[in-house]
Amino acid sequence: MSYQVFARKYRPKTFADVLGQEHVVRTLRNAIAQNRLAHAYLFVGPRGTGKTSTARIFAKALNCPNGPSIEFDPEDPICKEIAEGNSLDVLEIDGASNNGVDQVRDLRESVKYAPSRCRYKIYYIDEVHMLSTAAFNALLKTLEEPPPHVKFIFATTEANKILPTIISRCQRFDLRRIPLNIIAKHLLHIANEEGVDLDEKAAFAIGKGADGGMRDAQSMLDQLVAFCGNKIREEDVLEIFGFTSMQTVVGMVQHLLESDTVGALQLVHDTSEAGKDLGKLLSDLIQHIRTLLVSQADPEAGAEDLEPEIADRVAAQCQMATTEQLLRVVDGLAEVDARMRWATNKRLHLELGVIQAVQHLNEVSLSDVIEALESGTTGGLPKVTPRAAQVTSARAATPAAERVSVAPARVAEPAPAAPPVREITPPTAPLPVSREPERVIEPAPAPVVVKESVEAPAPVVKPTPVEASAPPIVSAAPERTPPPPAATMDIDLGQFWADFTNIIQERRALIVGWLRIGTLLSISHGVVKIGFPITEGHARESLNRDNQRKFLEAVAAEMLGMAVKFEMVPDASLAAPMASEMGFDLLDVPEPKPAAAPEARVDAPKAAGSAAPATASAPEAPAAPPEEFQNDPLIKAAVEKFKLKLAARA
Amino acid sequence: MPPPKKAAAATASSSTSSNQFFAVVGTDEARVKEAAMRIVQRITPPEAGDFGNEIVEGQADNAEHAGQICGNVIMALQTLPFFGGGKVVWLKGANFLGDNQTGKAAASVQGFENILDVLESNLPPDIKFVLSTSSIDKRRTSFKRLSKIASMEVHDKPDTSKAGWEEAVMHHALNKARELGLSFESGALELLVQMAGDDTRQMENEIEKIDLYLGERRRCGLNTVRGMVSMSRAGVVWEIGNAIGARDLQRALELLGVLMYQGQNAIGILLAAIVPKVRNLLIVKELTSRNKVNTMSYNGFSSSLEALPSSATSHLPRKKDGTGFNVYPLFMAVAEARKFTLDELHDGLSACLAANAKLVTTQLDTKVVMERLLVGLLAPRTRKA
Repeated sequence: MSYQVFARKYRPKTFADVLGQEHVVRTLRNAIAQNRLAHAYLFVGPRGTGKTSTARIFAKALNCPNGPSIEFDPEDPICKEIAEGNSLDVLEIDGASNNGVDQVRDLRESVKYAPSRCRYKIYYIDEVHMLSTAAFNALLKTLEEPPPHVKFIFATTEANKILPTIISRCQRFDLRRIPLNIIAKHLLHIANEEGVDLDEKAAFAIGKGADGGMRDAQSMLDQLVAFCGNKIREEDVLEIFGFTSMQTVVGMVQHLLESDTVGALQLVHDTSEAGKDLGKLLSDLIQHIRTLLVSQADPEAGAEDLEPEIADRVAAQCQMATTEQLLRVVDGLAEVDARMRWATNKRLHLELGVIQAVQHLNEVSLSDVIEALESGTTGGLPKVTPRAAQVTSARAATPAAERVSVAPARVAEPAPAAPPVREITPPTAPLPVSREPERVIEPAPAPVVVKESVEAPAPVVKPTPVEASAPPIVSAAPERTPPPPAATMDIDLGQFWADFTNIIQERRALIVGWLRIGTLLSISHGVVKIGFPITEGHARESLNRDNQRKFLEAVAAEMLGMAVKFEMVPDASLAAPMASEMGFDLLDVPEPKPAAAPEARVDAPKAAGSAAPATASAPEAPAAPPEEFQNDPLIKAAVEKFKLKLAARA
Repeated sequence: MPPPKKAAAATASSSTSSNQFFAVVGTDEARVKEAAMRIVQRITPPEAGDFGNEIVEGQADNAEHAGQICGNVIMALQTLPFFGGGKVVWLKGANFLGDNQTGKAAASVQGFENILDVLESNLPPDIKFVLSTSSIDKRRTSFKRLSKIASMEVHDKPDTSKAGWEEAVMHHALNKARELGLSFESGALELLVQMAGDDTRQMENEIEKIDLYLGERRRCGLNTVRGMVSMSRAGVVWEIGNAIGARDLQRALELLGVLMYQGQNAIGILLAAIVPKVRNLLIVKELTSRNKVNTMSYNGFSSSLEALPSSATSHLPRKKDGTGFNVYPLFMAVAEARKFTLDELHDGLSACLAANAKLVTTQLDTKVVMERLLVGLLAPRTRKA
């Protein structure tokens, strides 16, 4: 016997073989069992969902010996004839090529004649929507009251193109898309029967590409067997059909959610280099984010269309961002999708879209701010919280050594201000000051800082070799780094940081949440270096804006009694803060510390650097909005924009 | 539920009381056929047997065929019964009397005028004539002549654009279900009516299908209706509205997928299915938050609206004839609006506007735009702890 493609070889032969259409099969079985047969049936559904197969099985059940019967023998000669399309009493008509009124008139003439061998004469018209209106009208009368020995079965993919008068004369069944896991299981079954080693992931990849159509899936499996032989892996499927791996899409979204721009761009690069369609990757990406959104609303929804491993990751990912964030990402990616259609350089657009998506995920919308303000002490910007929690937990599971090993990969991130660049100084101007031992003050919390040799956490007051040989920083800007008073040597960085954040809390409360994410790394050469976890780029960037940085520098200068410059640097060794630490704690109750008047605290550093810690204390919960708060440009703008009134909070 | 309207409930009327000529017309094909059959059975002389009935099929392929059919009817009317006694001539399912190409052709118009001439020419009283048709042009003089000499029965489909149309169809569906011994869960029958639409034949088919699917079971639930009933276009629109009202994102996306797969226009879906629902929800939410409104019963709600000052109700949707508020959709939205906050509904309507602008002015993937709208509208705002 000549080779038969899988789609024909494994075509369902009995009602039990029909997959994913239980509602249709059950109704037809009951109709046969109760002998309540309609004279016309209409099967509607996408391609490959079983319209022709169901029609043939139904025809077999009607015309089988001793029928109509649900339990017929598919190997019976009559049933075999029907299955092969050779039966004289089951006429399969292609509606697309027999769509004229003349063909329908011929059909009308032929329905008068009794069947030759079987009980019923069955007319199966495929693609019935292709019939012309005149043909439909010519069929109406016959369809309404056909002879008792005649049954009509129509099949179509586009029911909306059929006249309502035809539809109302038929018993209509809508066949559904076959769920992914059913397709995958069936493919594995076929592979098993054929002695093909088919990977489960490959089966799911094929099923996903088939988009609910079993015939498409079987045809794809056929092609894979022809191409790969008896061993089929997921990579083969992806390579041959140009699909994007679900893992890739999930991995991409994971990078986005973790703000790992470098990782996401690397994925885009890899996909592009592999010759995959970037448009497909983007649409898969959008689809996956849609799945996350739906899962947020209903965790059970759509699970049947996901392989178990992916379903688990979806469940985890949908906790890592809020609905608003995901919606913003979808909006951005949809715009990229529209732009990519006409772009010659699709990769550029996709890369920009990915970068934007990371930004969107890090954005704090005004509504978030307002909600955080409204939520008071329980508030906190929700957008970062889930991600942070996730990242924290993920990091907690990895040993410190592994975390350090990740750091070099992040160096490639296009950070706006990398520390080494800032420390490059002109080779000229070797002032004597530079030969003085450099003050490198260890931060009190002592985080594990992974640094280059320039900023090696050397013993206090001992210059690093590189710094000793390199021209000093102060030489470039001597006026900004006057020789510090001896008293500043005694500054406790931990205390300084606590005082500093308290003052910021009081003067510009909106930014203190970002500041607390950071860690004071060092104060050296008039440079205050604050490290931020890699995942908290938004906080770093927000504080690095000119207006915020200058404000911070001014406050620090007040406290230290010298001009300082702030550097916000990403630091891979810093763990992301706990959820509670990342909240928008504008209205949090301050830590209980020895109270002191804000004015005193502000003035104290001017007197002496060592006096600063003594003056630092947490502000009391304000009975009315402090004047500084009201004068904050952001608050002013918000009040003006939203016509707000600042009220005291009890 | 609003009280049934007289116009919707009573579709049959009789203008004259002729006992010799009968015309059964209307857009509801199944009921027209059923009524004509009943009349023919009633007026056929019992002693005449098969020879007392002469049925002329009225399905004309073209104008010439229509002319032939009319000729056949006239011959039948003018031929005396073979064994004497009475005779019934039934022109069944004539499709050449409407406002279409075949119906407007001279052969069709003249042919039917000729039939009327014969009917008016003092036929023997034992020769009776029944006409059944689902399309007849009421503007023609032939229709006026017919209505003068014949008992007229009209079986039109309910006007789905008017409130209360469901009542008549529901009554019909309930009767059919009772015949089969079926009962429905709360809301299932309403859903069935909305999904199957106004075509009674389609409705009967769907109930038959449900009956077969249920087998031994006799109680039909919402899921059975959703799973089994093929949705009409209006049904999908209704169901999307229901899904929005129930804040069922998964269902709404599924229905959107069905419509998009069928090739429906995204703007059409937006304007017909989504915007009216969101607007109704917003109106009701706003109304109930600002005014004291009785939401316990339909009649109470209706009375409350009437009692409100005009400044509070000037923006409410009104009936097409302008006689009062279109209370039904608003009342339906009362319970649903509790699932949303006022801000969410404000944002939702704005999002509809934005989606409309995107669909019209950008080349964004329409499915993405629509799905994004539904997700933004229905997904709960997650504020993770």
